[in-house]
This record gives sequence, C-alpha cells and structure tokens, in this order.
Amino acid sequence: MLPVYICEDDKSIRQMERDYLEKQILIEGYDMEIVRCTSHPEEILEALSGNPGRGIYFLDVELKGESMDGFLLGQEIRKRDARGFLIYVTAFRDLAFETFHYHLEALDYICKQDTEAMLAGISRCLQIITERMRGEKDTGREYFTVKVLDVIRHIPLEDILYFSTAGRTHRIELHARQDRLDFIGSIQELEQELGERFLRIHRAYLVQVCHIDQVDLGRREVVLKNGERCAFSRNKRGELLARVPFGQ
Amino acid sequence: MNIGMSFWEIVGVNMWSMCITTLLLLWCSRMLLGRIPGTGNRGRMAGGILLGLAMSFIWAFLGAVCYLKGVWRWPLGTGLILWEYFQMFIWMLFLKFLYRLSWRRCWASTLLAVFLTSLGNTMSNFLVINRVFDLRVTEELRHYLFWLMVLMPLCIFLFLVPVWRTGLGKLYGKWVIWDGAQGWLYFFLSLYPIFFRLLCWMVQKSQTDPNDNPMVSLLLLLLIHLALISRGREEEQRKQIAQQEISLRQQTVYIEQMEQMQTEIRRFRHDFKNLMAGMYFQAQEGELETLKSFIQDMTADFDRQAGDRIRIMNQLANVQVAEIKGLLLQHMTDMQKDGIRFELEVMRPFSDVAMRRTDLTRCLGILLDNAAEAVQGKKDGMVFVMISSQKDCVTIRVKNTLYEIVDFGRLGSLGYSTKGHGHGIGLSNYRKILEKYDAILSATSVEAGFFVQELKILQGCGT
Repeated sequence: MLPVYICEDDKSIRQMERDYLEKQILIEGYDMEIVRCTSHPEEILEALSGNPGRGIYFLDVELKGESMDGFLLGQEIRKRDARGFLIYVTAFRDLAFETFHYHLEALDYICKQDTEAMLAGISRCLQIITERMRGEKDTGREYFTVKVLDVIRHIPLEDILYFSTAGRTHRIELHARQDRLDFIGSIQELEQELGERFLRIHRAYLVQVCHIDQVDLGRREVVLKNGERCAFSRNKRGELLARVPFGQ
Repeated sequence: MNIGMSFWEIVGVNMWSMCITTLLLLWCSRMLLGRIPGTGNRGRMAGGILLGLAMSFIWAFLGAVCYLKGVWRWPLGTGLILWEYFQMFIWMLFLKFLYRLSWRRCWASTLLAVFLTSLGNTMSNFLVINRVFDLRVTEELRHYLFWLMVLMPLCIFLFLVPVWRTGLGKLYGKWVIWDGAQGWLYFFLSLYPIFFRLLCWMVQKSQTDPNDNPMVSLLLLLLIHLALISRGREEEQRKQIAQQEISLRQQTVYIEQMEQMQTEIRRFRHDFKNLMAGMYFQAQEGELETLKSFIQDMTADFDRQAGDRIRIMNQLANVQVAEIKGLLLQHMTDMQKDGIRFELEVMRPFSDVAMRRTDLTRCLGILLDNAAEAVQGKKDGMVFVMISSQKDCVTIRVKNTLYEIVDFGRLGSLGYSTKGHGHGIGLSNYRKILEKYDAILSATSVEAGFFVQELKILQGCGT
C-alpha cells in the first residue's frame, strides 16, 4: 500500500484535495491511503521517518509562514524516499517545473487556479503512478547508478560502452549509446564494482566487452560498435583476444 | 685566482642569493600576473618549489663556474649579458611550468620581472659607490658578502614595495596579458640587458663619473614606464568601452522587450473592455457556464499574449552575471524572431561561478547556438534553458527538440555535426574550454525527444 501525503497551506484547497483523493482511491480501488494531510512540512517529514518507504506526495510550492518551501521540502523528502512520487500543486502558472523535475524528479505539477483542472490533474497523476508501478515490475533491466554532484543518474547497464579517465583528475567520462556524462570517481573502484562484463583494456579505459566490434591489432585499438576507438595496453592483448569472440 | 673562498663556498653564497632572487622574481610575477600559481593544486605547488630549488642550484653552480673561469670579465660585458639571457630563459621555462600561460606571456612577464629586480639591484649599487672590494682580504670579503647577501636583497625588496603598493605592478601586468602588444615593444624590452651594459660601458668610456650608472637606469625606467603606462591605460580603456557597449546593447534589447510588452498589454486592455461588455451581457442572461468558460479562455489568452514575456523577464532578472544575461537576452530575441519557442528557468539568483566569465559565456554561447540551429526552420521547435544554483553546485542545462538521431560516437570530434559539413566546430571548442577545469562536469544526453547539454560547476573550489 502506498501512503499519500498532502502538504498545503490553504485550508479549503487542502480539504478539497483530501476529499477528492479519498473518493478516487475508493472508486478506482487504488492501493493507497492518505496518512497525513497538513500545512506543516515538518509533520510530513516526521510521519515519513516513522513510516519509511515509497509514498505519494502532493505538495504546495509556496507554503506561507512555514520553515521551508515546497522545493526544500521536496529535497528533504528525496533524502528519505528516493523513489517516491512528488506532485506539486501551485497557484503559480509559471512554476519552474524543469528545475523541480531535474532536482527532485517531480512527476508533475498541477495548477490550482482552476478547480476542475486541478482535480483532473490529480486523477491523471494517480493513473500515471499506477501505470508506472506496473511497468516497473516487468523490466528486469539493470542500471548503473551514479551520483553526479547533487543529482543521481541511472543509466541502463547494457547501454554503457565504456568509461574513460583523463589523466590525474578523478573525473571519469561515461560513454553510453545515448548518453555522455562526467562524474567524480575512481576507475579502479568501477572495475571492481562492475565485474566481468567490463574489461580494463588500458589505464584510461574500462570497456564493456559485448560492445567491442573489432580489435585492431595494428593500431592497438578496439573498435566499438558505434565506431568509437579506444587504445589498449600491450599486456592486455591476450586477455582481450580471449574475451572477444570474433576478434581481429 | 685566489679569493680566499673554495668553489663550494662560492656555490653556497650564490645559492643563497639565487634563492632570494627566485623569491623576489616570484613576487614580481605574482604582481604582474595577479595570482599565485597552483593554488588548489598541491602537486604543482610542490613541483614548483622543487623546481625553484633546482633552478637556484643550477644558477648558483654555473654562476660559480663562470665566475672562476672569468666569463664575467669578457669584453663589453658579453659574458654578463649572455648570463642574463640564460637566466631569463630558464625563468621563462619556470613560469611556463607554474602558470601554464602562453609562451608570449611568460616571456613578457619574465622581461618585466627581471627588469624590475635589476632596477632594485642597481639601487643597491648606490650603497657601495666608489667601493672596490678586495676579496682576498677577509675583512673586505665579509663586507662584500654582507652587501651581497643582505643589503642587496633588502634594496630590491624596498624597491619592489612601492611598485606593489601603488598598483604599478598591476598596470604593468595589463601589458603582459595584452595580446595586442606590438612587437617592437617586446623587442625593445628583450634588448634591455644589452642596452644596459652598453650604456654603462659608454658612460664609463666617456670618462664621466661612474656615479652616473644609476642615472642611466633611472632614465631607462622612466622611458619604459611611460611606454608601458600608456599601453596599459589604452588597454584598460578599450576594455571599458567594450564592456559599456555590451551593456548598452543589452539595455536597448531590454527596452525593446519592455515596449513590446507594453504594446501587448495596451492591446489587451482594449480587447478587455469589449470582453467585459460581452461578459456583462452573458451574466445578465444568466448563462453561467458560458461565462465560466469565457473567463477561462480570457485568462489563458492573457497568459499566452503577455504572460510568456513577463515570465521570461522575471527569470532573467535572477541572472546576475551581466555577460550571461546579455547572451540569453540576445538569443531570446533572435529565437523569437525566428518563431522558435524559448523558455528560461532561473529559480534562484545566479551570480559568479568558479569559471572565468569569458569561458562561461563562450560555452553557453556555443550551446545556445547549437540548440537554436538544430531547431531552426523546424515545426514546433523549442529551446529550453535552465540555470539552477544550488548549495554546492550550479547546473546549466540547454535542451532542444530533437529531429535527428545523434551519433554519440562522433559527438564533439572536430567537424561532426547533425547539420552536415562546416558545422560542429563549436562543440570541439566547447570541449577544449572545459578541459581546463577540473571542477566542471559536463553531460550530453537524449531525453524524451530532447537533446540535452548540461554543465555542472562545483562551487567553492578554485580552478
């Protein structure tokens, strides 16, 4: 069962949200329950520490007279519940949703100016959440999870071509099919963490073996399936040829 | 020759004065280049110290050898001149290692640093005018060493203090980092050691009182000082004018935007009256449902017409870096003209970051250009910019609607572009700029039909 939390400083809107959510849960038979409905962000965090796990949060952005705004509350919630669903309810039409989405992975934002649209937004969110949870069970995809300063990224492991490092810095570049990103880390630790699927072919390169297309012995480079080339060390040659089935 | 000191004693004495010279030269360079090298990079700092010591030792050793071999007494001071050039060359290499600047700048700051210290050195000669040390006499040797090891460095130091305090060093520094400096000035400065010896020699040859030596150098100082100051001032003014021009252009664009907004609001106000009349009629008729949808349409209409612009202007107000604000404004206007939807989010004030403003402006400029170019002339194209200042880092994201498949394997390599030949130089430049910074993480991805370029700049960490 998914706990639902509401944090909204306007009493009448809070009541309206609550009534509508209760009705929707009943009608649609969602496996959800409203556990806290308040105007104080602290209460949400308190309830959360007593009941850790994934939840659904309907949060106001502007919380007047409270110790934190919706953004900060979202950050606090994310620390405790990384996979929960955050939905922002705002009077602001020009909410910086991109920023909310980027930092908090907010699911959606709903404008409360128009009551009907707001309620429609709430029921749409509940549908999306149910669909998403259903979808999650099917895919057995493995992800590489990495913290890039203040955000966490998940990259499908099968899509990663290779990691590379530039000189003496701790900056590592991840090269995936449709992603290229820098993060701070150690290639040694990555090598240990990722195990067999990846091969350290060079001081600077850790390559996913299944993405190697050819081994160019003349230039001492491997050619990846997307055409990129990475150098390999002389002493890795044997291992490389043994691991890559159609090498050459 | 016999001077009552062994070879290694000479090397020791030299080592002392060379270490001091190195420190003084370092101070000069710090003054000229405006920063201490290698801060935040312990490896380079340690390397610098070791190299400095090694350099001092080489100078001390070779100096002693040259001294004993009589190189100093070559005719016309050629030995001394060569020695000075040798020192300058080594010093340039050292600066190159420390500051990683272009060779031109390293040489320019070497010239000025050596010039300043040698002037200080000349001042110390005042103290020993008419004094010829006989180094074979222990008493005399002691006086000489006192002069060499204590008085001379002190004199140079005292000479450099006013240069530093009055900000003269900074002004000279303007010249060092000025790329437009003319060749003849370099040439003239590079010839300084030769000029100096030549003048000394001429003064002495003409049987004038040798006391005139410091006068000669003072005259030289004045000349060079005047030349440098005028160049420095010019450079300063040029920069100021360029800055003013940018801000003027920005303000013009800003005012244009405001005027457009005003026209829109005026037009809306006009419509508004008619709409009100219609609403009044509907209310009279009791058609509540029609009235409700009418009001909703009107609000949406207002949002669409004037709201978009007001919203972006509000976001732009949070950008506190003038260059970036101007850049965004420029791109915003251009894209509006081309019918490209442009959105900007700056939730929290964005001020300076641990990246040089020029580099940041260039990087963001490249990303914006690429994004605008990618959606140019396409249906429903949009460009979205987010600047998010958080406690530890600032994230800048530029995303645009994606129409083609991106070849990540070739992204950023010179000449690759989804737009065909002749493009794609931007991204490789972008990479090149970012390589200089350890505290910046970049990312490129494809997300739900958008191409996303991202920069994360770690705060509170020098580069």
